Amino acid sequence: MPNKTHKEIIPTRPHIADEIQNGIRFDSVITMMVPAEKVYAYWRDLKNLPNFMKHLSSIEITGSETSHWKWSVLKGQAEIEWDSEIVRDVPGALIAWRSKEGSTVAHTGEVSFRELPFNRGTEVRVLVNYHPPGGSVTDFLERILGESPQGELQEDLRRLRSLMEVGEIITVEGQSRGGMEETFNPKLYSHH
Amino acid sequence: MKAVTWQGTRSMKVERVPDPRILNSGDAVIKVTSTAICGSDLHLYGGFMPGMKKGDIMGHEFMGEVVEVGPNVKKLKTGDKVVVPFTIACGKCYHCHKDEWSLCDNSNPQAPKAELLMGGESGSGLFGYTHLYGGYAGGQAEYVRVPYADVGPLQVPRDIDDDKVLFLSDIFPTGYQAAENCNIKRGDVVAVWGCGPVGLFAIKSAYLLGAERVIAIDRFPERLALAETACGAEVINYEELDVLEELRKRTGGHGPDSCIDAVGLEAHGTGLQYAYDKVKTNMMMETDRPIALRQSLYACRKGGTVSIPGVYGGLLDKVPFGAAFGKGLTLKMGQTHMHKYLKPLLNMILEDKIDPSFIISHRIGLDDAADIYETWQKKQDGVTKIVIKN
Repeated sequence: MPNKTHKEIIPTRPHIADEIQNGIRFDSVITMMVPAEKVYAYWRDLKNLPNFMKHLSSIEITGSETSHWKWSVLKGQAEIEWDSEIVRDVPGALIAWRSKEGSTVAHTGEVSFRELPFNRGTEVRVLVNYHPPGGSVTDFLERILGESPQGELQEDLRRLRSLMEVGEIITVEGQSRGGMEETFNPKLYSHH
Repeated sequence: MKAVTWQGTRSMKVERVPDPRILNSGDAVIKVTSTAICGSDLHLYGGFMPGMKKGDIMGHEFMGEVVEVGPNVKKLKTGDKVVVPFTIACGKCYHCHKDEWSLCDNSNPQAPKAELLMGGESGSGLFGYTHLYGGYAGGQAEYVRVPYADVGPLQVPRDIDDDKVLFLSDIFPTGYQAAENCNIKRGDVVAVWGCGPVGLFAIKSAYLLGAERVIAIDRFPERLALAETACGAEVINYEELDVLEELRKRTGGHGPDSCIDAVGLEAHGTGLQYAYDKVKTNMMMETDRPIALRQSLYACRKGGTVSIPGVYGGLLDKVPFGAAFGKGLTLKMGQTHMHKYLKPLLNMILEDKIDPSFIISHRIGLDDAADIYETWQKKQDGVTKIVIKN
């Protein structure tokens, strides 16, 4: 892997997120054992995003730089939608986007991919900045972003890491436990 | 199928539950032929570990026959006889690449719960061992789902007796890693606290790795007898002798070169210190009773190593860190990096260097599994190791 620092690969300032003054910012970072090009390519193919973004119920690609997002809120009871456009795209290194004018939730975001020296993997850093519409900030957070937006961003990145490293996200949903009605899996008996 | 489920503190039940099925493409389902109850299951039974839910299927030591594989399983086949390591690992992340399998980044689907406890990234998922470790259904059942089937399960010869290889699932590698972590050199004296199965395998492993003498510490005569006769250790009954004084005397005044705490968070002891921990844990002011750990830190020779295979779950009180610092000790601990040890230790068994079945005291059917937890917890009936046969 190339032994370069972040700054040699991409200029880090200005963040697109800095366009919004006094926004509600979240950022998170994770490291995964795949090349930066692979994560970049997966993310840039925007239809992959619902595979690891828990609240993104669907995404529609509307142009080479534009897409339409449907975001699940209020624990799945409602959906909000917006149009997004990619405003900076540095292959293998950075994608930055902002919501288009007139969106319910105005925001900017960027994700950067930095390959670490000595086979330490690729650092994936996300920064999102929401422009709060009227009302109190707390109310906005709870209604739109869920109870723990920072934690959920981290969870999204953890799922991305599993997809990139293993190809799949491990689950225990649907496994057997006590107190459930007994059911039979015919495949367990078929080979006898 | 039938399974042993956790119903609450000191309450287990054998009940009928849904058969497991493939949930991820790399899964297999194993028909369990033999499974064991681990000393660390007693921590769950006693309610010492947080993160259990009513209905959780117990068990992390099991083996059997592969009966179903997911679409992405390449190596494992239906009909294979396998032993399953209790730590679950993806085989692809940073830590798996470093042979640190029990620190796998991807195998705990409930990692945020563990991170609150760890103050950092979660370790690997474990079978049947709380929702902090992923909430995976365990193997004290007729069938069990095994994720990452091409990474974990160890194929063993079809004609080998289950009892000889079952403990590759946890306690033999755990005892072996505990001894390996001691960095044993020729002439070394190793002290082992706790003569349960992990302690006994740690004694055997310490000798295999070249220890000159092993001194084993416990209070139960039947365990001390096994340590002495089956494993060749010198023994100390801590209810009869002052452990620190005795160890000093037996090691030329300087203490053992390495100490292994194979007891963990529910240690028993004598005197004021034990009373102190009982009161504090009962008042929820301390989560663990680190009596064996304290003794091992005090006993260890300057520059020595304290290796901790015993499980700890939370916050400890009055740990003599000054002693550890003052003597320049090395501390090694953690869940076992199982996958690293499976093949080498299987080879030792196949070469007749060790027969792990010596620790088995009880063989029972699944229907009797719920009640025997109480028997073992009360240390009745001479229990050293319980194996459940399906």
